[in-house]
Amino acid sequence: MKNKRLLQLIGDIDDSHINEAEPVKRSMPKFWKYASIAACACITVAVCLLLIGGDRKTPPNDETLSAPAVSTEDGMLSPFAATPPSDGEDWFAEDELRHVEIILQGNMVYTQLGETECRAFVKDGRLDAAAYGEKLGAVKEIGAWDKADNSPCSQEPNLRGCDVFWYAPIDCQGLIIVEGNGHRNLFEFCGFSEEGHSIAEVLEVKGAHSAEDVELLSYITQVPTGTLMEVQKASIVTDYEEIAAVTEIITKLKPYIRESNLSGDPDWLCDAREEYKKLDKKQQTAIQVKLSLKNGLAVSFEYQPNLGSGYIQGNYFLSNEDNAKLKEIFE
Amino acid sequence: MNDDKIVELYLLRNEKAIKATAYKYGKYCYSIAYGILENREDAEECVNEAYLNTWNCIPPQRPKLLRTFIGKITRNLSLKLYEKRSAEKRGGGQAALCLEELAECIPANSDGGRIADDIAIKQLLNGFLEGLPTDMRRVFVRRYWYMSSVAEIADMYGFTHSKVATLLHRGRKKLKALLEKEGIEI
Repeated sequence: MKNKRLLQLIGDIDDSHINEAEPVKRSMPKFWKYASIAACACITVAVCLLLIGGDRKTPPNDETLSAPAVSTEDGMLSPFAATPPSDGEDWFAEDELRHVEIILQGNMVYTQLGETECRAFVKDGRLDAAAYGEKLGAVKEIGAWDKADNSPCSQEPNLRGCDVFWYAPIDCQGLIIVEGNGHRNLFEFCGFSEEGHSIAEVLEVKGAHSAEDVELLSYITQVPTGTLMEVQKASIVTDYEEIAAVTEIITKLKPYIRESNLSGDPDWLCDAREEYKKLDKKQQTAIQVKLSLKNGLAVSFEYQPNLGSGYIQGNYFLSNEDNAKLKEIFE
Repeated sequence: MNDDKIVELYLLRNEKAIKATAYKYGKYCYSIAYGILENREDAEECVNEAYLNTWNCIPPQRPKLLRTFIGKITRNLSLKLYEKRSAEKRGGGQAALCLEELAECIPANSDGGRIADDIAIKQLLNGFLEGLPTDMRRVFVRRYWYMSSVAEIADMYGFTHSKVATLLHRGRKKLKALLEKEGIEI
């Protein structure tokens, strides 16, 4: 009991000691520091597109641009860097992956692709004229928590004024080109910022209108062991019948919506989780599923076959019959 | 969004405060909860509860450092759930190890000592930490506040496993000596 009390009281030590024990920032040569910042294209951005035609040469009206200017005349891809966060606005810890994101039409979130991911679409790292689809507009900084919101939000000055185009070869809304301020890169649709959108909608945006648009399905099965999730199995499904069955099941799913940000998960899900925790660890399986589409894009989700009657994050439970089908495919 | 703006949203009873907190400190809180509970669902449950507790605490409270404020709430909730899980024979992990280690700090022959109140022990602990060399203090807090494993701490600070273990052992000895010297019974 005494050691428990001591452990609890240590919880109330001065903030300065807690902060001091944060991971050490390892210093690195300046060149590598800035190169890695440019490569990772740090910080989350909340921007919205002004969906009217804009002057493509509009310069940014902010003095905080920090990325080195690169000519965009040759079509070369050049990732957007982020403005380093100031001391008071440390959205991210040092070791966290950061993204540059854009919200299109107030709800569709796109995230910047890395160099390797871009190679799947642009082999020599250069966009030609055929890559450019319809121009969507120019990026404008606005508050992004919701449409009728005036609350403050961090924005990335480096994207301000940039032009946005659909990426034509994909022929869907899944990939866009953002260019301006001396940079150009591809951004992929990664989901909706608001709840209530189904997997079917995500597939539609990414150009998967039926199972025929899916190239293959890969999955990783994990179970909790000790401090981490341990990979039990990694496999690929190429059989069309099985891909079609998975696609049919996931496109039937209905997403649930929380009443507000203050609401936790719905009661039926919390109750099911309580039961789930009583299961043997080996049964607490989480399966990461990825559908690779023929157009080069992908859609991922997590499936927990033994939570309730089968749970795919953000959706109501599967029917027993559908869960049994999925289990058969993934086990 | 900086902390002042998030706290302002709490004070204005604007639910976006929760969203901003989750966005900025969700991962931090999860790492604290997971370090103690070593269970994904339990850790998520504690973090969600921590957001609600923060919502209920501000106002009237107005934290100077939101990060450690919510970190402390998460840690307390995680320890409570850990105790519950232990009672259900489902506990384990770093919290159990930390408890075992801290038992070494409790003076063995404490008869006649005074049972100190929380404030007195908090002051003593802060004084104790201030008196430690920086490396030892960081390692000690990392182990017994964040409940990181010895291997994680070694990796975090670029120390060897044995150096971390030695620093912790010396730290516990010093704390025990201080408690004995002050005649404080936990």
